[in-house]
Amino acid sequence: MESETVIQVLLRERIRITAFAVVVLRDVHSADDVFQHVVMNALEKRSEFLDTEHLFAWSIRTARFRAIDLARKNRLMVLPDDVLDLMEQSQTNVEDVVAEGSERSVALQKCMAKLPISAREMLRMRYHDGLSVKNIAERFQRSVEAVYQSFSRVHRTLRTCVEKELVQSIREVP
Amino acid sequence: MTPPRQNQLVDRLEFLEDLAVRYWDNSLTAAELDQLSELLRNDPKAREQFQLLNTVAIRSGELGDLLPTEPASWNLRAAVESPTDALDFSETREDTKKEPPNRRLVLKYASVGLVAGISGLAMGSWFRQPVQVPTARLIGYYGAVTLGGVRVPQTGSPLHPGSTLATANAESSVLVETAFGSRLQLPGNSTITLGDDGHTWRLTRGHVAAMVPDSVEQSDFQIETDDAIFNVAGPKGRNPELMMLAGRQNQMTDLCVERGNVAVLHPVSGDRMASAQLGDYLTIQSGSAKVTRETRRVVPDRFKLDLSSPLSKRWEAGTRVLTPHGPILAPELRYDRWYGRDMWQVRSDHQWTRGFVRVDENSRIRMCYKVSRPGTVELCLCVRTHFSNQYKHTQGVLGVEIEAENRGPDDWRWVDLPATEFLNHRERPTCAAPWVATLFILNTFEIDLELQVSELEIVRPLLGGRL
Repeated sequence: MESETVIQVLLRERIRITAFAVVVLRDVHSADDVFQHVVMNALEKRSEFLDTEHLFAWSIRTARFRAIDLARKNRLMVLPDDVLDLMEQSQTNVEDVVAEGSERSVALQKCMAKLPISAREMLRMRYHDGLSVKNIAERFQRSVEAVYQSFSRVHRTLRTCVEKELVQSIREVP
Repeated sequence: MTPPRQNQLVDRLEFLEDLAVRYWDNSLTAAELDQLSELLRNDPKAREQFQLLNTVAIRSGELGDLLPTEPASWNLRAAVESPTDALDFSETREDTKKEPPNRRLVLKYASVGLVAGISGLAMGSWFRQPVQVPTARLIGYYGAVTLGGVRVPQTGSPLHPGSTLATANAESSVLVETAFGSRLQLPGNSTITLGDDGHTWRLTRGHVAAMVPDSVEQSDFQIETDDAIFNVAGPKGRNPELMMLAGRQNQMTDLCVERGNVAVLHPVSGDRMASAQLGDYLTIQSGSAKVTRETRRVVPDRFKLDLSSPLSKRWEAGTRVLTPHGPILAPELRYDRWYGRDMWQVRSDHQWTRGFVRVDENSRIRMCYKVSRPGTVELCLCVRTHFSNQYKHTQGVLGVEIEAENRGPDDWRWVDLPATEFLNHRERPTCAAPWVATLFILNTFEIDLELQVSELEIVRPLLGGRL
């Protein structure tokens, strides 16, 4: 397979590969590293791929094993294999949630933008900057349990908001 | 944690949300992990919600676009001052109404449909046209990156002659692959344009790292600045593998070669001015066409501040003062773009291209200093990774705050700290160590503590081998 084709396929499937790695690793940057690892390896092995489906299946598998390896190295608890299989199978939903421009994705972006600045900063610190809940609790001068509850509230808020946005978008369709 | 009644969807989802937060924090008990697994195993709605939560994490990186950019610490302080009122959804809309309209955000959403349409058309035409191979392709980017002045909507965008790629701030970076498989990485605050010939990249601002992997059959690019052309184009054999870093700032161009050979050509005549190979560090002053060479095989593992001679002309802030105690380094008042205020600082000359010392978790940082009044002294090392084959995790800041005391006119004090104590900085590097330090900063914030530094030393225990 031409390297051009390998890159095209992997970039097209990037969201799905990265999103799957995030489930295992719980770290956006590490998940992106896994994607980079997949791309580099796929380019090296490009002559072995029979077609694009073969390449994609190999990529998801490689991402999964790589992510699990990293998770174990970092002493992270890993979900059982059968649950990961189910998560892997629900890729259509993954794309629906994550893909740029999809209804759910736009709804989520709108809802995240509606969050107050301090809540957004909290999400950013936890997920983007990779601070632990304990670190955030120290910075906010609150108990760890209170910060857990705050995160749960933000997640609930986002779920309710996304559902409302989706209902509204259905109503708006003529 | 008590499991909910199984028949109630909302209860189950709320239970999932509680568990998910702890799952992300790796603080679930084994029993709770089982409960989470059961939920995900048996309930498709729970899997969907779990995926949504993971997407929130992926999207959280974009929250930076929604927040005021300067000063960086403002949001955290606001959150600390009013930690609870922000998390009630009933107040969310009010809060949103109070904020001034975010033009960038409005444009972003207004353009979502347009971008999706254009992307669809672009992807469609990409696959429809059988022979069109772009000159280069954007492999990935991180942070605020623009292509042709427009925020890049998609990784995989082709770069054609005339395309200008820019990273807007220190946190952003981008990785490009040429048609033949060479890779160019643009770190923060840099701009590069692909020339009409399809293989000359014109660096007008900042830095670029370029790599030709061993597997590539032909080198197919050159990097051009106002002062020089760095040519690596040619058949494989002459350059089986190449890694170079180039910069254009402060009226000069510099080049560091970590692997391979690079021909340095005159920017106008194209005459050969020099050639550079492994370990060479070259500088070319604007308008001089004079190449200065320094050969250093690797970035050193030890740095000792040399105050026996005047500071480099490219020193960014701070002065060398001769005192009865000997020469010392003193801060000066300057505007700090990160904090958005005037601050008393020392900033060394920024050596992104060659770096001044390698640092890892085992390094030690020692400093001899004195202050006239007690206060906080921040010591930071800006670091980058040595590897150009990535588009993120390429740079960071190691930083520590020292509570400086003063008990008399000659109260000189030593701090001797392990690098691990510098890893609590908010912008700490997420790339793997060792890191290459490119700049050090001493900061007493808005108060002039009359800081004097007589010695600064950074030592990495010898581990052998090069980067």
